[in-house]
Amino acid sequence: MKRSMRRSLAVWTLACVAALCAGMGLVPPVRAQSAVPGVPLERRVKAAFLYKFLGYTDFPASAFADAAAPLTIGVIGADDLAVELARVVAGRTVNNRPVEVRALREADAGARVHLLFVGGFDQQRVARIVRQASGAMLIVTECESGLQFGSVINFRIVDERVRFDVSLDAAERNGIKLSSRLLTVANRVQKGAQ
Amino acid sequence: MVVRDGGTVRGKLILMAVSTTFVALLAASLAMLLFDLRAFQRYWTDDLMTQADIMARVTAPALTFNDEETARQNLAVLRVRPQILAAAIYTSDGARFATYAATPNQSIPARPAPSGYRIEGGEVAVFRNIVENGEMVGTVYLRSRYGLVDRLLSYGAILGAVMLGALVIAGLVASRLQAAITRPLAAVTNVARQVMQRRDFTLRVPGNDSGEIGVLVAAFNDMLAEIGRRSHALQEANATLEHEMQVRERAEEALRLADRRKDEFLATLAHELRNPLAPIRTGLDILRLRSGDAQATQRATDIMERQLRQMVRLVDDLLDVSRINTGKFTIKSGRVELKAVVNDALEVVRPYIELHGHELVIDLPDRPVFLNGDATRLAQILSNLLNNAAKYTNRGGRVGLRATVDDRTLMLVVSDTGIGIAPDMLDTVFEMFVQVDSTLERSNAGLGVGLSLARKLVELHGGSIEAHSAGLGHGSQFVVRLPIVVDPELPAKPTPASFISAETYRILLADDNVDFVNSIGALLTAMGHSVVITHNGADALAAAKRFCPDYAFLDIGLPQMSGYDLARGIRDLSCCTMTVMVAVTGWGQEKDRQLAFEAGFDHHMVKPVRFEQIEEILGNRSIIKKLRT
Repeated sequence: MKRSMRRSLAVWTLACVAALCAGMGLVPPVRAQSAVPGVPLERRVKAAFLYKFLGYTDFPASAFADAAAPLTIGVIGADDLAVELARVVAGRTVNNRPVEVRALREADAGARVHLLFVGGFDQQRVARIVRQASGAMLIVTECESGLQFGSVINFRIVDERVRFDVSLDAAERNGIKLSSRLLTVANRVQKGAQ
Repeated sequence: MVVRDGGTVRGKLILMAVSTTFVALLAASLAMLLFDLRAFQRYWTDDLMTQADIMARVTAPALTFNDEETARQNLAVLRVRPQILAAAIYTSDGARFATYAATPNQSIPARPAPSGYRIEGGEVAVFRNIVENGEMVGTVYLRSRYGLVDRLLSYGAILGAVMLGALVIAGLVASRLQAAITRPLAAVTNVARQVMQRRDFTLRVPGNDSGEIGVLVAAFNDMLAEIGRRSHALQEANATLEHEMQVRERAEEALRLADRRKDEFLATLAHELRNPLAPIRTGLDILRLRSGDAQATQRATDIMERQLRQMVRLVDDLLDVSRINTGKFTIKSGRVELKAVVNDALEVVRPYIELHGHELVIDLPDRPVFLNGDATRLAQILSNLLNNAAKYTNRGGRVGLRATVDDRTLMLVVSDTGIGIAPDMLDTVFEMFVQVDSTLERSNAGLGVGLSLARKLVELHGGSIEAHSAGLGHGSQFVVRLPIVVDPELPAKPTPASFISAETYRILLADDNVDFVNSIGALLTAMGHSVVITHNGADALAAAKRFCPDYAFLDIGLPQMSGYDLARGIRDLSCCTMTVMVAVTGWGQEKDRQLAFEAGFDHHMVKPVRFEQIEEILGNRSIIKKLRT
């Protein structure tokens, strides 16, 4: 019941946002100046968010080969977003590490990346991919009940805005730490048995 | 001590302390105020910056993830800081992202300004960039009340209160401490004022402080002592000068008086000397014109003799006065019988008294009274007094002489019924050159010598003299007291001077004044004496050798041989040891007298010689004989 209501809401939101963007020409505040006209606003916002998540996340030292090793973002099931994200991170660093974006296939779910975005709203598929993922990585999903599948951050659309829920348990499980400042802007923070 | 106004040292000291404190406090307060305001401003802006930084840090995720609601909530935290009036978050594009206002109607800039702070009016505004992961994601704006004026006022009020309190305390402390300086100063001032008012230099400033004040007090006291000493010395000198001035004035007055008396004396002297000359000249004229008329001749001779006697007497008195004044007056000492003295005196003055038509009353004791002294001088005393009495009594008066013996004192009273003496003149009549009344007619005037001489002579005989008078016009009395000799050994038979012995003597006269010696010789011959007259020393000596005279009247100024040598020569003659030798000389000084006696003379006569004197000497023959044996 609740799930379906959220889903319909998200669709409505997306539609509204798209209409808004198309109608009024307003750009959302996230790196809008260099937006690619072909990519929808929602995807661009999420791409920007993904990049920004890195700044609020502590990875264990074992996650890197060396001090100059790049932070790797793997994107599954959202190629347009991967393109947009690659454009966002180009020339940027996080904690003095360069950021690279890899568009992955579902079969590559076990690849060693620091942030894995699993796009798509097919819950079973997402759950399957999340389960395959292992190691110190930040898993971000965008489907309904993403956190329940083991995702750390799950995008939501609230009041026509892109928001996200956070699962501290999942983060702990994956061996990463999320900044408390990130939690202040999270839509919901899940902790303990829920 | 009493402090009357602000001009006192006390007031100045307190004012000094208070003003010094005030200046120091003011400087310190201003410095503190400036420092505090600067620190306050820095603190305030720093605080606001920090606030902005915190807000930037806190709102960075909300801005990053485009969460306006969270950003508003973050800003709403500022409500705990009421001084913050407004706040805002801008996106990196400059769009307002979230705002906060403590009260409604707060203006919030539409666009952000560069990072920094600015102070406008009573408010301070801060812009801070929000940097996240090395990227500027937006701007924070905070605006706050700026409490500088409030701070200034409250701080100033505190400083003012502190300063006021400090000044009061400084004033109190100074008013206590200044006493150490002002008390001695006030004491000095007080004493100085008293000294000026009371002229009392014995005042001293009490206290023994040390340091400059002590030195001042000690110096002031020393100065007072010195002034006191000098003032005292000055007063003493003034007193001495005043005394000397008085003495000098008195001496001057006495000198003036003496000078005046001397002038009067000289005038009188000239008159007195001149007076007898007119009758003498008249007598001479009579003698020349009527030499044949024996009666007229006799009268002229009597007048001339009297006048001459008066004149000689006057000169004698003057000589005696001169001797007395020069201290060369001596009296011979010998036993003298009162009656002889009285006779001698009467011999002299009787003609004068009779001339004035006075009645002479004499009252002497019956038994003989002996005095120790100079017969001639004692007679002179009496004659002077009697003469005086006759002179100052109007014609036809009465002149009395009374002698009484009281134990060992002979009292002689010479009284008259004359003009008398004023009471205030009783003491001064005996002084030299003093006359009872200088306005008296010249005929009555005298030299003022007689009484003075009488007193001197009385005193030389150990007696006293005093004058009495019942006043002017009531006559006067002169009382002479003389000690008497009560020794019973006395000649059995007194020889009155008036008695002229019938015995005749051999008499040698030696004088180069032929007229004088011949006239005397003629007189003596007429009296029955054998007389040899010589005119020089050699003849006289030769005559003495032959003649063996009983008496030899020798002139001292003889030609060829001086009287003294002649006397020694005669005295050496065997026949002349008993000869009574009389020196006749023009020199009456005491030393001449002395020389005469040393040369062997028995008497000394000063020219001009009256015949009575020769008769007197001849009459004393018996006494001399007795003394010589």
